[in-house]
Amino acid sequence: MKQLLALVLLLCTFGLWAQTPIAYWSQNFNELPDGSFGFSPDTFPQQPDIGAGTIYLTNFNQDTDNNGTYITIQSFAGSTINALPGYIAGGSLSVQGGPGTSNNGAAIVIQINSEGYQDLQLSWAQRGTATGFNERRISWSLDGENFTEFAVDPGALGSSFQLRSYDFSAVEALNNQASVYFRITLDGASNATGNNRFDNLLVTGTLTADADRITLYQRDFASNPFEKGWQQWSLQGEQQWQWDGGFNNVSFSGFVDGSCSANDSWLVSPAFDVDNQTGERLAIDIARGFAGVNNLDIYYSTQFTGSELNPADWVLLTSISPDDFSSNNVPVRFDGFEQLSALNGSVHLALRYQFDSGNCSTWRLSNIQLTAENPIASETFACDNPVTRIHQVQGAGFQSPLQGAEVQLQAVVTAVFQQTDNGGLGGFYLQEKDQHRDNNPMTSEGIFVYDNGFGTPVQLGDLVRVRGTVAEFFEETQLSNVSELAVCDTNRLHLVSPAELSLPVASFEQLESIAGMWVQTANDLTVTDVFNAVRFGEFTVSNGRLYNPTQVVAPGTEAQAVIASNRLNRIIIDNGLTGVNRQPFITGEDGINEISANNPIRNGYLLQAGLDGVMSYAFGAYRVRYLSTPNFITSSNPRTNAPELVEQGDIKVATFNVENLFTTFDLPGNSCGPNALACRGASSESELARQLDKLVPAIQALEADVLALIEIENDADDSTLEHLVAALNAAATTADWSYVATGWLGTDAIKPAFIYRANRVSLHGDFAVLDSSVDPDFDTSRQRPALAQSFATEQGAVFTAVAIHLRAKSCGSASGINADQGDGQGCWNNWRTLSARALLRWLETDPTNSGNNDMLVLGDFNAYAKEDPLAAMEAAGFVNLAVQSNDNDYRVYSYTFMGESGSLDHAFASPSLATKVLQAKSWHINSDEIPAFNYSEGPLQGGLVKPDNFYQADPFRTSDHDPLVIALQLSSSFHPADLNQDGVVDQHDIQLFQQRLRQGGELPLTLDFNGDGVVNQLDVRAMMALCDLPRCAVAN
Amino acid sequence: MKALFLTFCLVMSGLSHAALIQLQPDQNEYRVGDSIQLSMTISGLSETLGAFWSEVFYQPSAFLLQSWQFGNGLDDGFGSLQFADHDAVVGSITLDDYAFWDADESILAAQQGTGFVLAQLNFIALEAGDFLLSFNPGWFGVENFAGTFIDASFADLSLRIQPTQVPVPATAFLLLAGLGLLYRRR
Repeated sequence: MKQLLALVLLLCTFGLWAQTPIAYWSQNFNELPDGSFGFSPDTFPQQPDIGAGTIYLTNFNQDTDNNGTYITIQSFAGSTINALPGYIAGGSLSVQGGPGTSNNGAAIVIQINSEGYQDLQLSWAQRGTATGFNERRISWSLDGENFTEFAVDPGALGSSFQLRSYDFSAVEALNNQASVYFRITLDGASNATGNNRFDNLLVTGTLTADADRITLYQRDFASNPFEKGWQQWSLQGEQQWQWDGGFNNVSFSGFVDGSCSANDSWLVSPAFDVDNQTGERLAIDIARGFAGVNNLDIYYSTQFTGSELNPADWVLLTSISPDDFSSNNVPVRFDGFEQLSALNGSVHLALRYQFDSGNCSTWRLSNIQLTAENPIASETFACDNPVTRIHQVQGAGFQSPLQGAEVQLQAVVTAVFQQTDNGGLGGFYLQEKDQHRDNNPMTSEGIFVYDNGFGTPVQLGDLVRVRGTVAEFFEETQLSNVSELAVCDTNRLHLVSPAELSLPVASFEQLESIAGMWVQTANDLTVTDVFNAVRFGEFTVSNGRLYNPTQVVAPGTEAQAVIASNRLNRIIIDNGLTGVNRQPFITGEDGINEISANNPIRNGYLLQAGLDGVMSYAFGAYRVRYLSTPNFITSSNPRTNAPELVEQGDIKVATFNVENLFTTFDLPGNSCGPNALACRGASSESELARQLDKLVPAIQALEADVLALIEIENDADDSTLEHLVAALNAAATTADWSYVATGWLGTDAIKPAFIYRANRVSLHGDFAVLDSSVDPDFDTSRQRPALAQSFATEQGAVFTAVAIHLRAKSCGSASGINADQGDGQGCWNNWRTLSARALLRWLETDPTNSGNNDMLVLGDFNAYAKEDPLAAMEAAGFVNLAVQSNDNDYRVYSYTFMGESGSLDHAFASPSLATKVLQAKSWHINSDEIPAFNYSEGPLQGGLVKPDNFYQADPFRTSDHDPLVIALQLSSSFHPADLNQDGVVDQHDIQLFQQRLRQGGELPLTLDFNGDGVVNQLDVRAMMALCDLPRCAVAN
Repeated sequence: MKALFLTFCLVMSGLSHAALIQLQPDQNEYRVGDSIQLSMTISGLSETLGAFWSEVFYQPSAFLLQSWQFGNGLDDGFGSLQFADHDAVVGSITLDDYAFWDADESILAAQQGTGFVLAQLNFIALEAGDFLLSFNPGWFGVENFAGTFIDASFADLSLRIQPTQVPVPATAFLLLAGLGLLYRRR
């Protein structure tokens, strides 16, 4: 390397970070001599993986087994939470209650040397079991004997890892000491095996020598850098820099399909202003993924404008060689680069991956930090003394260029959230008076002040002066560590103005430029996600409904473009309470009362323009914390009592994924299906009754004659179907529901099934099953078999329905071609595609011996409309009926995921049957509804008892999928122009058609009488040509 | 203008279109209580018309729609298919007229020329003021005899209705006479 100024391993080079690791224990290397994982007396004192220090245990049960392994100290699976770069989840330090809960009172002691450090912080990831320790007391000591209690962490730990972090910066006695001890004392275990797991124990501090330096920029790549001002430019080759949110890095590999391909790809940072401070220094953590021939070159430029990348505009800062590393995937710190401080203006940094031939390297960037001397002068705290302006604190980028600086602000309070309990944010928002704006549209004039119960209440409109430290709290710029706060004036709200918020935005910079500010929504926005309405008091809005990319465009490049545009077209509307299940719950559609089953917020509602709020960034998303009540326009997507079909036909078929209807209860000891798998439905008689009280009216309203059910318990005696049919017949005026008895189908706990109205259709022959034994490509080892049954109508028409439920998208063990290819189709796409092709081959054999080609394949394909399995169906001539009924517009849906709508549930008609289809339409009773309104009696996610008014015995949120209804006209005497179905086409029919045209809304293509592909006024005269009598006369 | 101000307002420019549909009043002046006869006409035709459909909005507080008639430009002598739908509460009238496919086109062409009366509307004026009778762009169009759209525009109609003329009361004459006497004494 020619220009590398410093190369030292991470162990030795903690020099620049505001918080620098002093000691870190990953708990990933707890393998014992016998190959098992655990702890023995030899383990302790345990040395750290990074830094210096020890961990030891006190007052614990030291019993060992025959191998000398502690029996109450385990190394259960760990986590990547709080892991330093390069460390996997691995194991953990798991303390069990021990026999007779003998480990109550045991302690984990962490000893470190803090010489040269101040502002110590202790953190780790933890999880536990219900009977594990329910209290953790955290204390500190300088001698290891006399401890001072610092905090208590009460409560049993949940089953997923969570971060715990303690800031000891206020305990100055811990600074610059040869020995500092932290102790975690455990108590309250109620069972021998109940446990608490601790992982990634980390002590950090600030280097005293750098205590007054500020951070201009710091990114650990926990969030997507390409949404935060980073960009990539490919001058050669097709590979891309990839962000990995699991391992918090951005990487580039030229190794594709077994060989290296030539690339010249640049990863370019946001711009850094190097004029406002002095003494800039850069630190950057790079890991080698694979040692090839090509270096990783780091450049800087003051010429780059963002519109074009010209290598001549860039200056090489350093070139990093694979030889600079002793092992793969362990980051090395490269730091210094003080020549940056001599530059003027805006500086971009770039990592250039350039490879032509030979073995190609893989490079990863896991951390970058730019620091400088603190430019803020000290100032006496008094109203109207000189201040730092909020736009200076916010800067023009995604991060404050004054991180770590103590500043004084004086501005107007625009929102107050000072409550510190029950989900209160513990702070307020300030905004500069309009007269003090800097007129730079890229800098925000607002900021959140985290006063954390400082004790001085503020009011909306107060002019407040506050002293605190600039920080990035999970990527939101805020003022924290408030040390002084004064109300200088009141009723000044008229001196600030809200920013206008409209969607979509052109870039995330647009949202960042108003982060912290008072905002007002400019347009009516569509509610697109209500999944977290109960749990987090928030919903998402967009400009129009968002569709899953592969619902509307082809997988791959086009889908990626829709993913990107959808991201820029959504924002969360938040009630300003943090935490889970905070009450009062968010306000429902009436704008007055909390949400409930009859006061919902539905996807598709319009949030009326003019909502006031403050723009915030939390939990990885921009959000408006509202200050005025959200008003909804519900008429944009109202609940309806039944599917709104224009055409009824003479037979209706439907498909409905009912989200696990089981009569074997989901209780310990019960199992379901031929392989004794866990049961998935109701857990009691009462829950089953609630489930049926929603499902039965939903099925009744479908008015289907044949219903393909998905996710029915796979029981040997069909007792679940029998139970459902009995409930339907008890509720129906004509008790003619019956079911196709199949017994066990396949290997899963659920199966596809048919129920039907025996007065309307009869079974035509036996059912047939497609599974692996029929065609190995239809792999039913992890997928339900397809079920085919032919039906005959009263008029003698015969058609075959095929119920299908392909493998889900969740990845699990997916690998190779079944792994997520990044094309928008998720995992197992190849599996599903092979299955679809096998299905088509099977259908060609007329598996039910129906004797005709009228086939209707329907069910849950677990694939959106443009994905490969459905493309295979269309290529074979099968018609996607919901799409056809929507004027061949793919914007239809039966399911909503992460705020994007799409159809997983489809109905495909064979070419011969497609001509007999009048209409197909989903009934949106589920996908647009809040999940907590389901039948479950269990607590809400997060543990709160479910309020009684979250349940209503109606069809809404019966399931997570919408049913899809298909109106068929199988009778040969049918004439599409005979709208009143009186057997003759006359001027009464013309008038009916004219009225339907005037009413607007969708009309089936069967009414396209002039055959031009659209149904409009031109079809009126074309229809007149179809009259049975001259001049469309009405017969006497 | 003393009693009636009448103006045609071209809401959608017809300059670039071949055909224009508009409402034409039968008088220059109207007062409250007057009958108003409006002709819905089409002009600028260069081909035989096969159908038209339209909806006209009016203020039901200002106008009472008494009757309407279709023209005969789409009738070859054996009728055409006509639909009308009147909503007196909202103040709307839908008028659609479709020629039959087997109508004699030569007869229709002769009747239509380059323009003709599509329909006639008969109102009573109820209220003084300025009012707009407007077409609904969502239900408006014409097609030729062959069954394709003809490019057409419409013109809304602005009508001013004057108050009814009321005799000057006798007390006003007495007042004027008194004022005259006072003036002469000075």
